[in-house]
Amino acid sequence: MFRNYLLVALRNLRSRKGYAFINIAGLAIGMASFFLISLFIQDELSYDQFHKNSDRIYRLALRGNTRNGSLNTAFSASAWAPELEADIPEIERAIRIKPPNQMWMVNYETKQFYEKGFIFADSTVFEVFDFNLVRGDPQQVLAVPFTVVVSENVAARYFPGEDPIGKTINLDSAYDFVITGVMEDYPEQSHLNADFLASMSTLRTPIYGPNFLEQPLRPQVYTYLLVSEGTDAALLQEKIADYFDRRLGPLLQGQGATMKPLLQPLTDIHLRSNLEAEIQANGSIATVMTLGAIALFILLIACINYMNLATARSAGRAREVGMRKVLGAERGQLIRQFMGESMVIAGVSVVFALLFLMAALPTFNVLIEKNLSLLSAGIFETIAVFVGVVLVCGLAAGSYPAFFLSAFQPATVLKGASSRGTGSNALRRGLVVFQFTTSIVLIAATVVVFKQLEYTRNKNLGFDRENILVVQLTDPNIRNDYQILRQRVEALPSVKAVSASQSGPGYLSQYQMVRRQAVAVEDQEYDLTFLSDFDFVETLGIKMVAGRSHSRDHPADSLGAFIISEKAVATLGFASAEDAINQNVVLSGGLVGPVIGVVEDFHSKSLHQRMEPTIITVIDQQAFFYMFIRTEANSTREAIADVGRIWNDMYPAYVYEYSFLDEDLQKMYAADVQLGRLFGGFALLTILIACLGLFGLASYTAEQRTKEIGVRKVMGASVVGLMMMLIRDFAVYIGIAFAIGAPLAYIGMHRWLDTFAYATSFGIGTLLLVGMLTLIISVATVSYQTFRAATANPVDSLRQE
Amino acid sequence: MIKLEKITKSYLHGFNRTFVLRNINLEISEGEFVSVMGPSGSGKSTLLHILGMLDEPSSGTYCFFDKPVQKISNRKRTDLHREYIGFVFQAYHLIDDLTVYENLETPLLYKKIKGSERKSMVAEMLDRFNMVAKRDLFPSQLSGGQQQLVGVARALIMQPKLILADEPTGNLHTSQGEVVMDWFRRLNKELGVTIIQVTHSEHWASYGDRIIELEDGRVSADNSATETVSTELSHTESS
Ligand SMILES: Nc1ncnc2c1ncn2[C@@H]1O[C@H](COP(=O)(O)OP(=O)(O)O)[C@@H](O)[C@H]1O
Ligand SMILES: [Mg+2]
Repeated sequence: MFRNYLLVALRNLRSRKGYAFINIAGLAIGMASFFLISLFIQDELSYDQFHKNSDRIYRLALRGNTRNGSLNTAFSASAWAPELEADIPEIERAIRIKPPNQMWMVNYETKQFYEKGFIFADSTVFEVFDFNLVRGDPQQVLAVPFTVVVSENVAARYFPGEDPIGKTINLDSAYDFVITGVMEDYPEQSHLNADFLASMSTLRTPIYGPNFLEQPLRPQVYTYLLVSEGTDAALLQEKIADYFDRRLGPLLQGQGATMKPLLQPLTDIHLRSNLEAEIQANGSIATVMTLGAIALFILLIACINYMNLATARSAGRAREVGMRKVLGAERGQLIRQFMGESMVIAGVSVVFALLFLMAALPTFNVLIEKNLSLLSAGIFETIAVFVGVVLVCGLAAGSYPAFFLSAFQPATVLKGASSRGTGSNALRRGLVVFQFTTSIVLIAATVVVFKQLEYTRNKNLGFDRENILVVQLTDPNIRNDYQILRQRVEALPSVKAVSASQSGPGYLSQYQMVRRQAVAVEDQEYDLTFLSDFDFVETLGIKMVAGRSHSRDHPADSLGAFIISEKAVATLGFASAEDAINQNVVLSGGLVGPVIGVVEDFHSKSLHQRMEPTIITVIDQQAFFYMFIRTEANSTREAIADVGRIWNDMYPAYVYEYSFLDEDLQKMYAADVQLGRLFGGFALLTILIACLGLFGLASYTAEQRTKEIGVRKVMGASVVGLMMMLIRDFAVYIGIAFAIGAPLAYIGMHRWLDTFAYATSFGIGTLLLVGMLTLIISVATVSYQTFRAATANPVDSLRQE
Repeated sequence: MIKLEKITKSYLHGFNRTFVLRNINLEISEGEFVSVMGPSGSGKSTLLHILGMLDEPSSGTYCFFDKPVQKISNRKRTDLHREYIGFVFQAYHLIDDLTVYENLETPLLYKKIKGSERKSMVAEMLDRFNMVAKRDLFPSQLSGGQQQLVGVARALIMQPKLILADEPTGNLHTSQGEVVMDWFRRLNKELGVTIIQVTHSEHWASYGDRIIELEDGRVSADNSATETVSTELSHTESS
């Protein structure tokens, strides 16, 4: 019996190639999209799961308030971990991690690399995290200062074919570390990546400042807690809060600040944590859910194609059903037959899906900046997903046609040679509307994301982002000669202005405690600060509102003279910009000086964030990390070459690297760009599948109405008139889909725009455009079939009867 | 074998009820060869469908081997099809995607007959109908007459006690029709299979030994008269 079904199914496919192609292509694309997204989601969900104790590890983060606003940081202070471990019994281990602020230069003999994974950690880190040692004893490797464990990858890079143990590497041309162990490369699916693991005790040497390990208040390390089995996290958080009150309460008194602990399960960090100072840009559970929904919808849309086409051409199968019933088939057997057919289609589709998947994976990886492979989830899991998708698609797509077709009464269908398969028209329309609703929502989402990205590119940031060349001063040797470099670059005809800073818009940000001298210490606030060279305001093109800018003509300017933004005027409590001029302010280090100028507010972070009160001050140190070079508008290329020549002359040992400020600023939107591309890609696939289905439906409609069209033509209908008649139906579907999809897109995308503090607006106009686009695409899809039907010679179609 | 009492069949057309069959009383015994005749739309096909249990009467009782059909469950009815009844249609109604061999095999599959037995049954049928050479052809590769022979063979393969044929020769040339009708006659005479056929033609009707005429849903004539037998015989001799 089964063979009989299979034969019918396969021959059906062979004899109706167009039908088979549409179904298989649609399903295969749908399945491939589903698999791609599944791989992505599986990868996102697997973050930090590989630790043996992953369910018992928490990160201690910090909530609270400062005078200047709320505090939500992944950092904690360095003094807490040892004290908590001693104080609270259910904390088995508390360890600290200190990732680098910037790339470190690491040297071994002639080998030199910039490393971003040079991390300091407590010696007990191996008891908490699964850093698996290949060489060395976990009890010993980080026991003393200036020891380091390197990953196998690092070992291979610095010491190919040699034994790394006992070798000495040099950090930042200043510090020597002895290698005491080698660890396996750390999985990518971690919120923390370490290539070097150096002993925390090293930091008693003030690499990161004095008393780095005994800070009770300054959040600058990450603390992880391994708790004992069965610990209630909420209760533990209470206990830590008590400890905070005891330990920090007295210190915070009079500072106008509060601090509360926030325990985050390790495995929640990647998708559910979005604090300040995250170790790396985390994923987002919202993106995972959105993509999951898209995956299901695309698969569903592909299944709908099958359902629609199978029922649309039911007329062709009705006779077979009737005859089989006459020959003694029970309804159940017929249902199984049609289910079997959809399974066959699903089975064939999955093979093509696999091919699509393999073809698309490299591009997809570029898009999502991951390194996924077909089997990244494990071979059995992968096979299980494939089989599962075939079964689910087969069932989902096949059930409706199976029940629909098997219900035909033989007396009805066998009576005449022709019978109409119209019973399901309402449902079929519903399904098509669903497909196009999804398409419209996805297209609209894509359009809005790209509109917002366009907005970020064109928004007036309060400074002139164009024609600024950025050169990073990565090494102390380079920084020491900055003033010479500056003078030489400034003299170039292609260069308009030069400045430098420890931080910069779109790069690192720094904060300082600031107050008016006139107010008490507890009224100080935490303001964004640019410790910069002269000409910072002029080089970036920030607009002055009052007072003057820093100038080399005023030698006192480098001893404490401040330019503040209009927002800082307000938060520091000055009556007006003019009023602030010449008033003294105090910075946390005790630096006191007058406000010499006020600038317009400018954006130094992404448009997701509000502008903050900002201070610009000139420092007289060789400690600038970013050099900003404003070029003459038409001499950018020349400037790049000129600066390069000077660089190579001054620093022959260092590679000349530069970037453009406007491009670097756009990198802050990498996640948004990725989302836009994903939306765009899958919107394209969705509409492709939906149009495949529409094309199929249009052919059947045209076929069914051949006779009607013939009669109408004989009676004098024009081709255009006939096409309008045929297209009208489909246009109505799109109209309904638009009516449902537009509000959904409107609400959904406004919620997304709410993640930006500064966002573009969109309204009915944009949505209408999307609707028109969809309409045009779908009309183009159906017009070939309708044109053929409308131009057919009526004599042919009428003679057939 | 078949007993119809006061059978009616009607359809609702808007608010009007149109009667297709009105008060049909009919008895057909095993071994009869009955031809049903009547103008188009007089209800012949409907009657045949009711007899074959593909359709249900609006009122009246239909007893098949003395059992009232209305009381038979769906599953039992399917079993009755498989056991007793074979159908032949004017439009052949072969399954397009199956070969001649597979078409013949299908009813056996539904009856869950084992592979080896199935093979021999199909082989025998192919042999009897002289179609061994065509076993792997698809219906579209056969002429109308050949297709109808497959249809007849398929109806016969289950060795039914009753064959219902709705204008089996309607689409065939005379010579092709004759082959089919000769088969019916042989089955009827040699194996005692009951045959009820619908036909428009006196010529084909004369193969049977009883003619029922329908007119506007009523039986207008029922001549099981033996006088037709002699003409029929003479006809056979002359052909
Ligand atoms: N499903 C139905 N609904 C309404 N009327 C029907 C239906 N099936 C058949 N009829 C009507 O019943 C009448 C008899 O049909 P049928 O038995 O096929 O006639 P015959 O086979 O004698 O030509 C016809 O007038 C036809 O229109
Ligand atoms: Mg008829």
